Amino acid sequence: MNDLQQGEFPIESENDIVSARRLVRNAAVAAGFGLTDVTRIVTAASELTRNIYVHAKSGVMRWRFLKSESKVGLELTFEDSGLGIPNVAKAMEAGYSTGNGLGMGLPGAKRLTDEMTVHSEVGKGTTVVVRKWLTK
Amino acid sequence: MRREPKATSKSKATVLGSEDSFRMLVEGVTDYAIVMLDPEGHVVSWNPGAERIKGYTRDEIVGKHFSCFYPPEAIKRGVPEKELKAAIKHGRFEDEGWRVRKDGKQFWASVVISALRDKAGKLRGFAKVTRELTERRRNEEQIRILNEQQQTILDASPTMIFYKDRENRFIRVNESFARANGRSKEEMEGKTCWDIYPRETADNYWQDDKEVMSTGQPKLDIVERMETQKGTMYVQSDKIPYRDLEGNVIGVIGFTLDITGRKQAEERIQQQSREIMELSTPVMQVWQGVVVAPLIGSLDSQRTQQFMERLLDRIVETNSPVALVDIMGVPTVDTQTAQHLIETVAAVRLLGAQVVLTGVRPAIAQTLVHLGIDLSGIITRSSLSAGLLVAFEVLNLQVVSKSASR
Repeated sequence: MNDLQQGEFPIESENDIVSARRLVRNAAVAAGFGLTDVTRIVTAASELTRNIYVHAKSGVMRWRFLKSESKVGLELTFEDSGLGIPNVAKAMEAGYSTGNGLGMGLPGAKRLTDEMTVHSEVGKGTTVVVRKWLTK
Repeated sequence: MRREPKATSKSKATVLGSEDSFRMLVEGVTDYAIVMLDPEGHVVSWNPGAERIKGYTRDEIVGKHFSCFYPPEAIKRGVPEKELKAAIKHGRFEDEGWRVRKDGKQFWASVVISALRDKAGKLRGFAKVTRELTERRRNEEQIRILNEQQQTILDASPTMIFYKDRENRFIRVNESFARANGRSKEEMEGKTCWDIYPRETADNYWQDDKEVMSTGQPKLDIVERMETQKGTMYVQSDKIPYRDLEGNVIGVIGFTLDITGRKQAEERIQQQSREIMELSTPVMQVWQGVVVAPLIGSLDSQRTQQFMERLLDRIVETNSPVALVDIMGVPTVDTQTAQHLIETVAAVRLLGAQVVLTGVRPAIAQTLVHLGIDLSGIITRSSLSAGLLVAFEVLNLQVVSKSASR
């Protein structure tokens, strides 16, 4: 079941990017992030859902609250079964794009969040996990 | 158990004589009640089959009138007498109906009454052969009830349901399906798709049916138009292979929903969203030579295209050297939005005008920096009023306080 603390949302059309942003915004606000961080997280989500839509046509976004003794945060996972990224390191470079974009999406999302892992297999798909920690 | 083989064995037949062997035959039969009646209808002879089926022993029944085998209402209607009369008239009378056992229980019987005449043609009595078919009758009744229940359920469903065979013929349809087609169920059953729908439509349906039958896999969520006598309907269908008990596909079962209402609502929403899109990208002239475009909501590619066209048109129309594009109402500026904005600015430059990007909120400014987007070629201001001052500067205008000029 989807709630603010965790859930998933399929990305299948451009409109879903808008909906995904709204879901992430609500989750980030509920997690206690301030305006600037919320904007960062939402923008990162926007980049990564758009990557799914543009490169894999469809995929899924998941979100969940992170809680440890010392800190809380929000984790977003973006998963698709598209073509995969042949060279993840290259994709992380600013200005590198296989589509028509600015090539800022993946490196931008990394800078907007605290942690990012990209796991991609050519022909199988890509999973991107980003985490943002709430600094107290 | 029949014991005729013994009775018909030739040597014994000759020893016992034909009358004896005939008696043994009758005595041996337990599946049939074989009874002889006198011309008035009294029981003359009684076999073990009759005892088994009707419950009376020979001693109890011989001499009684055969009407005691009939239910009271049949006796009231004079059925036993009528049957004898019919047998006399036609030589033979055949019937199926309820009869009564000694214990009062009724059973379903198949009865044949034959008139027996001597060589002179005088009526000597009747032979009455009865078979008990209660079980069969019960099964038939059960099947009829099941069928009725099935039809009731089918007809109660608002979903249109039909079965078709491999020749594209409707075997069975429900009320809902027949009604949607403006026909009765009887009018549809037995007809093919081609008898009912225009050629092309019928071919389309048949295409799906053939696919389902050849693959043996259901085909779900088929959205299509259905031309009916009452006009065009939008429908969503699920088609499922119809298999016999051995698993062979012998046709297609279809479940069809009328989604005309939903479709119309969707079209209305699309229409409205197009209208909202137009409404939400106004480009206004706020000063001689200055147009303002306040952007609200998200900038997807379709909307950006529309916005860019409108902005360029208005700049040319009003001969404005400056356009203020306000992004205060854009909640998220990601790289794509930024790219759209950069492209818009470049297009405006080609017209010899320039864009001032206003309404850049602090959080957005930080995000843009993190994203690594270079907006250094674009004049940006945090507020629309600050942007307006830039425009005045470009136009070589100055806002002067009245008190200062005095």
